[in-house]
Amino acid sequence: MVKLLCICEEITLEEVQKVIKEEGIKDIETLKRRLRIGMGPCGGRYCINTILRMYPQLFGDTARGKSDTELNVPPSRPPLKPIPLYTFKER
Amino acid sequence: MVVKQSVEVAIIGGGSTGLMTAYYLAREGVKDIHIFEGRYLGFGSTGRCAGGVRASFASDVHVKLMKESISRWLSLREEISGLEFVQDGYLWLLTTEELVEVHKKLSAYQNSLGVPTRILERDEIRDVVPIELNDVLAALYDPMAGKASPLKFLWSVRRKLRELGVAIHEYTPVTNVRVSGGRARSITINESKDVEVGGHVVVAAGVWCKDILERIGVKIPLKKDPHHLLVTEKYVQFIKPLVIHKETGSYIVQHETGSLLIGTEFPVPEEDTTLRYGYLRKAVTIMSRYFPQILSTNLLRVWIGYYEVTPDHHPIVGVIPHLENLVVATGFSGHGYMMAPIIGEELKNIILEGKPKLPETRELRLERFEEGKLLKESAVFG
Repeated sequence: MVKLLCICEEITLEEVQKVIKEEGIKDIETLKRRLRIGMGPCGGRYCINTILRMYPQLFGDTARGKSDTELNVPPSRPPLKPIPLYTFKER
Repeated sequence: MVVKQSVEVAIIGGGSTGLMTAYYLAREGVKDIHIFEGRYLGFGSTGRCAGGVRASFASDVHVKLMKESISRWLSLREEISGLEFVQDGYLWLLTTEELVEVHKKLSAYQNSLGVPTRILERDEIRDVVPIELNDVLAALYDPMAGKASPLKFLWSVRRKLRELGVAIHEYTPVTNVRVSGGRARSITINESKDVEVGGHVVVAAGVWCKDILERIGVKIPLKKDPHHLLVTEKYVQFIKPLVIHKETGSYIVQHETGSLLIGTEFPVPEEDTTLRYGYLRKAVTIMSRYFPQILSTNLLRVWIGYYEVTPDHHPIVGVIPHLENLVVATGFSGHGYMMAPIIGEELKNIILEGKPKLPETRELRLERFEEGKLLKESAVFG
């Protein structure tokens, strides 16, 4: 069974585990830029939370009690949800 | 990764310049190379830039260095698996008679230095890009230019450097450099630990070079210039070249993922990184005049990245005066990523041979500002 960790970019749990292991990735920011997790339309609201829930399995370290900064959780960038570009066009 | 007590080469800054320097050094067989990055690789300007690469500039130094850099980009995509560079060109949309005249002269100048730009008449532009021509009179086209995804660059080079045995220390800010007897002796990491450096220290930390060097009394004329960029959802591939609306300094580029990046000149104060709604309005309004189909796509994110700007808009590259093993590379004024391959190789030459190979790199030394020998756009038009 294929387990999709990031729906927007279609990244499987297996791919995530593979790059973490083979490329020595130790943080979410680098993982994000490696596999584009959190860069799709969901803005990370699903995939980054999944990663946080699975933090010990993925990074071999506990996430409990740590702040977003300590865990290198990518910042939320505006807009909160995708907005069509025509919203910004001057008329 | 625990950092050792002493290292041979310490590179401060995990952006494109630092990574390329490490790459060319490691390829020459240099051992014990360490990159120190305060956050993650590409946190600074590299990870925030649009990824354009061109040699079509208006100064001899820029043109000649960028021609060399493009030939490195072409080899790098063979040498480093995953690295992407496509020569899809640059296209400047010209909307006034004056701009057309200036760009005719600019193109002749660039041709004289071997950069094959050419003016496209209004009815030829649609052969290059599906555009609503609107008020466009003509365009300057540079088929030698291209684009290289910064994110792919970052992970592919990171992977390659690990294979080559380069140590990459992320989340390891360098807070000081200790100098004595005309040499850099050690660097301080995490504000606490000193790491001795046997060979060279390379300061390639973008806008943050200024803070690091000021700590040891070296002043560099560097200003932060924050620039916005937006990215849309994936869209069907339709724009190959990077397209610039010259009159307003707006541009659009579509990478292989399909996402569109749109930037525009939108000056904000040096220390102010508040995202501006006005930027979005300007960028979208201008670009949708020529590419109305983008209006139906969704905005995903907006961010700000820095240009590190010098008074003559040319970089500072070379050994710091009176500090024989301290090398700086910064001040790229918005062109650091595209220049990284040639600058990385030249820093390797400075470290191994004592001097850069190209005369143009020698002109980038820091002393030029004190001596009042600023580099000029040698081609002045109109």
